[in-house]
Amino acid sequence: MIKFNCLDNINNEQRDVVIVTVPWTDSGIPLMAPAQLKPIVENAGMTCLATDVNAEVFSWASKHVKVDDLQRFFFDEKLNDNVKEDLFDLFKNMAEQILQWKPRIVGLSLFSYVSQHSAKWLSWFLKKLDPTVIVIVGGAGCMSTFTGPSEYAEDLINAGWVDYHIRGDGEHALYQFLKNNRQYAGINSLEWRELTKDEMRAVPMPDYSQYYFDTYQKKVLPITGSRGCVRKCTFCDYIANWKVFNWRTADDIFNEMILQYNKYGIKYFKFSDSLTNGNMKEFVKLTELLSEYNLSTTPEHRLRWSGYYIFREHNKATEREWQLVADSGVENLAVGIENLNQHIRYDIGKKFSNEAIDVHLSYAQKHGIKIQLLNIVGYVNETQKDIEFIKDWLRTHTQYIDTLVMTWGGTLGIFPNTWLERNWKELGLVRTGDHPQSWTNPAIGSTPERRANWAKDINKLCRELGYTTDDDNLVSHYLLELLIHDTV
Amino acid sequence: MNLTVNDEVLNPVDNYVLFEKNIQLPEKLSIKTSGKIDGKDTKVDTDGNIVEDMYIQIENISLDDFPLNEIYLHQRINLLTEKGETNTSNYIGFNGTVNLDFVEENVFAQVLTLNN
Repeated sequence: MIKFNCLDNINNEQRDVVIVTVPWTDSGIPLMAPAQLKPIVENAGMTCLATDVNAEVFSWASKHVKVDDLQRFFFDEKLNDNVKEDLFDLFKNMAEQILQWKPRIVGLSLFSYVSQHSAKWLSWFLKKLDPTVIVIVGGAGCMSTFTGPSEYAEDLINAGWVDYHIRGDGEHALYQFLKNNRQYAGINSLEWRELTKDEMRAVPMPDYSQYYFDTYQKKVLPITGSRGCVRKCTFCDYIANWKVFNWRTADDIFNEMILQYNKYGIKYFKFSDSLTNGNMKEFVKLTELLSEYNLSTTPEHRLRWSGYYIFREHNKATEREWQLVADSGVENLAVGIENLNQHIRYDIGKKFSNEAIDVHLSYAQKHGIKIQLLNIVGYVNETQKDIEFIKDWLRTHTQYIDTLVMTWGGTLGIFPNTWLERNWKELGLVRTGDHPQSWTNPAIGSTPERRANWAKDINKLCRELGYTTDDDNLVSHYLLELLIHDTV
Repeated sequence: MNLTVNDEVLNPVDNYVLFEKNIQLPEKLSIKTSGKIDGKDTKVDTDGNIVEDMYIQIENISLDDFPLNEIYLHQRINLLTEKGETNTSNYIGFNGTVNLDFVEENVFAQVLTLNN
């Protein structure tokens, strides 16, 4: 029977608010939201327990002999007899241990849609045990698309298991909620307000003091340097939700890294930003600060980091920038390159040349930095000729096998409120179903099945050539099979 | 057509009735229909098509506000008719008995088992 260390209340203490992550998120590192919101609650004059319950469930389930059956519940709400008692105990204990803190408010953070079944049952258990407790749900997992709406949250509210749904930047909305301003944008409303740059810079540092760090596979702290994006990619719905690019200063980010390292002894940071180098001036300054720090201290105290990164056209500064990136302690950079065909990349809105890719990769290799290239297969104008170009590129770049991790995903999905969706007809696309991947481009013979086969072919070639791919990613694999078998 | 649940007679108002009961799992509910007369309460046209029928339709079954899903409603409800035949449907057009067996010990397991 699982007992949650992170919820243990041995001194019978009381907290006004308890905020927890809800399973299932496949993460070996902490999820940030509760830690981010804890100081907000305290600024509103309340006490708060904020912790990462998902981490303990993930750790427990990973060691469980029936882990596959547990995952069937978390993903699809399918209950096998051999895990039903474990799952009942899991949610009952979770709810009981949360309520042992005698909170007035419980916040459930849903990182992805895979948390929805668990959050539903947890909220039900909470309300059964204490009908007076106020339950709030929030996080991207409440919605099927970035821009919403959340029918899921509405259903839970209508059922009486959840009282409020807070969406978007939760820091100011939660603060206003706790101050009894429950009409504030983002509280039970589709509309919400982005934090301004000044507000974002005034957000207190995340408080991980109630995270149970022994749980994690890797000692890493999440950190946020920016929200939004500097690019306007045609397929992207993230920018439809976060319309403005807001960033923190390099000094501010660096100070947080140093303070968190001193507090928790954790020297590895994972940036949650959609891109770490959106503001190049601040990014260079941050890498300078980190480089100075790392070069002035002993190896065991050097800071490390990873995050998303964008390639730009190369110039005279590129070599120095990569040196700084290396000295700053980077380990992995995930680069949304989207497509190895330059003309497609330009159409998407990522205007850097293939020559620039080669230059960036050569520097990354020189400094031993791992690059995860994130690709989209089957852009709206992509043809067999473009796929052959990608294959040729892979054959002619095998010198980067040790540098690259190739990600091909589940082919292009067209999501609400993106440029692609707004220009549907002009692009000559035909919707064939409700799924984001359910579209064709009759003019060039692009169909879901064809695109899925392209993705599988490229993955196969990658493996044959010796590249590392993450094609064992279950979601992508599952989706490709659905597309090929014409069930999407 | 008469309707009872665990021998409690239900009297529809405007052809609709809601039955609510506190139960302690595991529990069995027995729905009985009676009083429908063959040849009178079902009307057919000259081609043999049913044009009017007396029936009871189960629209929804919920345990603690968790609705059992469409698959359960349409594929798991078995009516044992007075003639000894079994009809699987939420459309009860014969006199007979439907037994709803809630065999689990808690709502969590019961809802998910029935909805799977």
